[in-house]
Amino acid sequence: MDTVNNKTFLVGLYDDEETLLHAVKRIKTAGINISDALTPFPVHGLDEAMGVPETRLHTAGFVFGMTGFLFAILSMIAITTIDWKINYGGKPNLSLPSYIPITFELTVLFASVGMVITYFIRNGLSVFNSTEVIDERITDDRFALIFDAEEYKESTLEDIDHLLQDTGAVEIKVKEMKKYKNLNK
Amino acid sequence: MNQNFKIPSRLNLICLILMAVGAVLFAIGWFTTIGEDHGASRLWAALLYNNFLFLGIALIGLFFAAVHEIGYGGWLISLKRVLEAVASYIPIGGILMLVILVLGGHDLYHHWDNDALYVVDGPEYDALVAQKRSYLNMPFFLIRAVIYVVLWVVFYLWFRRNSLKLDAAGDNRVPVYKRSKMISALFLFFFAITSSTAAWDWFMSIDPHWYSTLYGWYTFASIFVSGLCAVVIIIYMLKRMGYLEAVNEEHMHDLGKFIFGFSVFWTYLWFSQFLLIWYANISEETLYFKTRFEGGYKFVFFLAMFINFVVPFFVLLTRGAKRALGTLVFMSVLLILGHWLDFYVMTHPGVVGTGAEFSLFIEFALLIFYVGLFGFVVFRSLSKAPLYQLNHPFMKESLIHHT
Repeated sequence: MDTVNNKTFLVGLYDDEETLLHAVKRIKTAGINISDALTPFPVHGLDEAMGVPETRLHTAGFVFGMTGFLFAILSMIAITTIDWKINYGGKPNLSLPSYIPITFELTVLFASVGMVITYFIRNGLSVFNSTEVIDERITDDRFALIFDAEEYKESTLEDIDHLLQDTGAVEIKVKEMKKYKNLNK
Repeated sequence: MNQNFKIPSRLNLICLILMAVGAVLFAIGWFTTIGEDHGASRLWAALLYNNFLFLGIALIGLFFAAVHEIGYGGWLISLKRVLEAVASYIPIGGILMLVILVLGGHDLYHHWDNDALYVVDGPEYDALVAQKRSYLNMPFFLIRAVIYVVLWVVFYLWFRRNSLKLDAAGDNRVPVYKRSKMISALFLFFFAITSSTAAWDWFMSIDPHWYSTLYGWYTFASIFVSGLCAVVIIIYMLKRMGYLEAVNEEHMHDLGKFIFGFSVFWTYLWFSQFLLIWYANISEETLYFKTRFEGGYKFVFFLAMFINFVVPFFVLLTRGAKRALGTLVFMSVLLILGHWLDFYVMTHPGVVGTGAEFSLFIEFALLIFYVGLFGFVVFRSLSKAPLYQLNHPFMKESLIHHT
């Protein structure tokens, strides 16, 4: 096996979200970069505390929505005025009100499906991807803070270790992982 | 936290000046227009929709507070007193409404308040209106109006009294808090019915041949957006005067989301009403839109649509816009004007029908007058009670609220 690509991480595990939030704030004020936090459920205020930049997913959603909107309205105009003219209810072939419901539905469909797919791709959660698990209990009742060990000198790592202990980490371990996508970068 | 709001004398003066200017302008408009053809109708129509817009805003103050009371909505408790202050206009707006309906009823509802329409085989016999006579007749109409207004006023007074009681209750607050839930639930039950029937009575019956089953919700969506906009503007004014620092961008963000969402909801109802009538193409139904598509109304009709949907949709779409107080206040002023235009298109074509016309002495004069009156009443009410309901069980949730 190719061990050169393996990365070493320092992992601190907490058992409470409040403790985790305080820990993140303290570690951040100490000037130490946290690579990632893994929690079993969304923790309110963790994004700001971690300094994670705001997601651009909604911009993608807007673009997908506009795509759906244009696709729907242009295709319907093309169909009803050029390709297949049908007189229904004596109305003109180009009747915008009748396009609105389908346009609305396709806008929503494109925006939502597009956002879900983008979300999965960006998070590395697509079907053929596998991710190594840092600790089995982070999907249950453990909150993990991850530090990229290669970023720091030996002495800083010891400082981090102390900080983790001080802020109430219940377990601290070093983990080698082959694939790990750092979301904070 | 600064708990006691004192009205700056300048603000009071501005409100009184607005009232005086509006009243004088309208008086001039009244005496120059009353003699004209349709003059009385036009004046009463302007009074009706201006008065209802502000009465609706006041009702939404109570509605929004009541909804959050029974829904365990903790986030807005720090601005609950603003909602109560907005609702304090209900008694005055309600009484003015009754006065307008009693004095101007015939000029407003001349399409059905006319005995000749009911003479079978008579020259003016109108089968469609005659069918609706058991509901649309002046005595029953006025009785209903009195019932609505009395219900709203009673619930406002009861809600407010209980809210003040909660302040004084100290540690014994749970029973008082539970009673406010009960009052809110009862109010919401009656408001769900009366908001719809009031819209049918006062606005839909202007065109008695026409009917639309979602008209009540449409009106409700209109006043809901306007009401929240008024709340945003009042919060902004209070913050400018140095009060209400506990209401921060997190709360404004939530109010902005409501304004955005209900602007879209309003459009949804606007379009649902239009699409079905457009598709079915039944002359009895299309008449409503036909009158609004000619005589200069078309521009106002689509301008209202543009202001109330296109502008807020694109401006308030981003998170940043909803959190920036300046943008939100600008949109609030614009949206109130937009819904003011929308109410104009709901009343003027049916009552007068001579084409869109705006006069500084009639429509705008009343807008100025009502802004002054509304501001005067609301700020007076704000100064009468502490600005925060600190004893409310959910006050802390509001203080640490985070969107």
